[in-house]
Amino acid sequence: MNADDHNEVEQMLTSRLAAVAAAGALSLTAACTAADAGSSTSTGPVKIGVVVPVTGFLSPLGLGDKAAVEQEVKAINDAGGVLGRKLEVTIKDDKSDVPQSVTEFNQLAADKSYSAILSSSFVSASTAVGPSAKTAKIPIVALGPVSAFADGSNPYAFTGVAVPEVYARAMVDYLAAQKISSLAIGYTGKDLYGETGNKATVAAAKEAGIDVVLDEPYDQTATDFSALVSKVKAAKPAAFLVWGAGPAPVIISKQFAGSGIPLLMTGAQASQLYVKPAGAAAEGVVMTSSIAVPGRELPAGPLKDLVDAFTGPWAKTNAGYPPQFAFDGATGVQLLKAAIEEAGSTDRAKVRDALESLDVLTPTGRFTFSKTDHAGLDTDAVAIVKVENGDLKTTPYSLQRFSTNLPK
Amino acid sequence: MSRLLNWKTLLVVAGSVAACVAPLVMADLTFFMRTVLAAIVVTGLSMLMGYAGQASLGQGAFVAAGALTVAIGTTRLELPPLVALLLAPLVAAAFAALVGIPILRLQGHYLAFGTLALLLMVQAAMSAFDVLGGAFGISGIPAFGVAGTAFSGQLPYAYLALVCLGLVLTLTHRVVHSRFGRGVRALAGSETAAESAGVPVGRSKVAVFALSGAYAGLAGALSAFFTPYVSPDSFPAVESFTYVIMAVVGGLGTVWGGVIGAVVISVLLQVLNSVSSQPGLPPTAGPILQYATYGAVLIATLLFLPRGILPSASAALGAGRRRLGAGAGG
Repeated sequence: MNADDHNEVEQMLTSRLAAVAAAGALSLTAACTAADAGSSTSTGPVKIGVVVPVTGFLSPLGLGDKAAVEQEVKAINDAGGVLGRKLEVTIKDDKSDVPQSVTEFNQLAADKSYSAILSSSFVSASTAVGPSAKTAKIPIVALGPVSAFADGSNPYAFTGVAVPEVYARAMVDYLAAQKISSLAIGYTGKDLYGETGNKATVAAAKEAGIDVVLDEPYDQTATDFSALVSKVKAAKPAAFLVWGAGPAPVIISKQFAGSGIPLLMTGAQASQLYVKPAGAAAEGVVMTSSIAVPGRELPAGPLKDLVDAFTGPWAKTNAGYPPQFAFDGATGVQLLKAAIEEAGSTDRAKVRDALESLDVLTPTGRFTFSKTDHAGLDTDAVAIVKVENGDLKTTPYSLQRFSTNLPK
Repeated sequence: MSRLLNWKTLLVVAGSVAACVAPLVMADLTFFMRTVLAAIVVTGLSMLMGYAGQASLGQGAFVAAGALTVAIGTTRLELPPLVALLLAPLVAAAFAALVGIPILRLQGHYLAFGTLALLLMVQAAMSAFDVLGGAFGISGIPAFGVAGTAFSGQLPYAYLALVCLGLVLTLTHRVVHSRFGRGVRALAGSETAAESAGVPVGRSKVAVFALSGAYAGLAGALSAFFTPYVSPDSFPAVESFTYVIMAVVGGLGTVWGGVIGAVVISVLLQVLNSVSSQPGLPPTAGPILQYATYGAVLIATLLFLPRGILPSASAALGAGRRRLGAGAGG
């Protein structure tokens, strides 16, 4: 084949190409109308989606969420399902990666048969899908503490975990009661959990008259925190609080051990996933946690019944007491179930409306959502626990509060 | 000869029809979009590598430039989506031209590493400066739409991307067969020879680089509308490597090679993905399988189809025809 023939072939291809392009443009109009086809029906299973970090650096969170969601869905189906229909859940892995989370979320949201989605326990990822939920008009409950959803400015986004502001207030209340006068904070920089947590703690501490002598960001993928540790020691605070998730707090605990300064952590460490690897360095560490974490020490009542209903089956298939992320997953499913039943429909708009007026007790506390409160939980959903002999024990401070301030 | 022509036309038409029907029957349009967007990027890369003889391991930098144009344009400057989409390839091309002037003085491996460094610098800048999204990225990019209408669902995006791919292929064909294109093609052979024949070497290289940047920017813009979140993590280096593999596998220096490479590699990755997510396999199985397969595919292609799938296949087809013709004649 010579060059001219070749050109002839290519020219032929180009004209075909133009025709195809034109055809594509025409079908675009058709596609716009076709896209609305297929929506949640009134028969068949009730479908919800879940996007969590099953792999990647936050996999401990996602694995807890996944196991809990599966257990909870099974329990609901065994008890007759939702609206008398089977509850069906699709769990997607976002690989601890924000763009991947948005992609998986959009793929689920585009399928009109899903009534609602539980978005990632990776806070940055959940925050990023917020606008997509609004565009796709699908209600979401975040399995991570997303402060951006708290004020209800995004009508479709709710958070199913106490937000850092609530944790910060609970921690500061505790510190004030312990007569702690100064505080140093280390937090994950460039991460929404760390940054909002730090900001909220600084604000609450100021109100309570506690002096924040240092608030220092750290890189959560780093493996050496000796610079941070020496800065904190030099600042001589009465206590040191770490806002972060993943492996970093474990390393910080080890490097900080023996400093003589009380170490404080947040809910992200309230499980054996922190206590075990930190070992001796974790002994005596005080942390905020969901009220479900010290569930065994709760006084009898409706909250304890709900916690036991979850921990009972959990113990049969998993080793040890459920981590906080597992409770969060269970709560997420229970919130959606309650909303769908309240709505009496799987219609996305109706489920959203129902979520916004929901008032329901879950294993992690009582959620009271409203138009301006999409976070739902208050400081009574937070316990202060202490690591003793490798276990998380309720502090006397919290035990005392249980008797007066327990969510009912 | 005319029968060969019919064969090719038939293949193109069949492929185009399949591409237009696929979004209607496929459940996973994310996969479809990724493939089409990769095809757009790789068509530019194939032109850059095959015709102009310049390597780039950092096409992701220009994808990012396009995506950022849309993200910043729609969320901060409140540009209409269509304006942002049209602006994206221009911004990416301008960016490519600007960095192309110094970087294209490098050659061969040095150029490849230079472009990779460029991508890493773009990523670093994106996470360092809040204007470019900072650590949390840019979310809240509105749905694409023209004159008050807005796309709902994924299907319209699939067709929009197909139309863009069609335009890119048409443009590539025109460019390659223009006077400018003939000059550019001479570059791949010998820059010295091209220069002595009167080809403005430096300017031509920058122009092709800018055009491939424009394609990448267009793909980036489409992806920003489809997945309305843009952060440094959206453009991992491994994706830019994948573009190179797609270009090599499909066939460098061909108009359709990029499309074929993108489809073959994307399908392969999708298959690996579903294999590695089978229950019982460790979570690390996915990445291991992916890298192993990349290596194996690249080596196999270079050993057995050194010119890539498309040129090798059409050569084989041509040889078959000639043999058939000779047989009938004898």
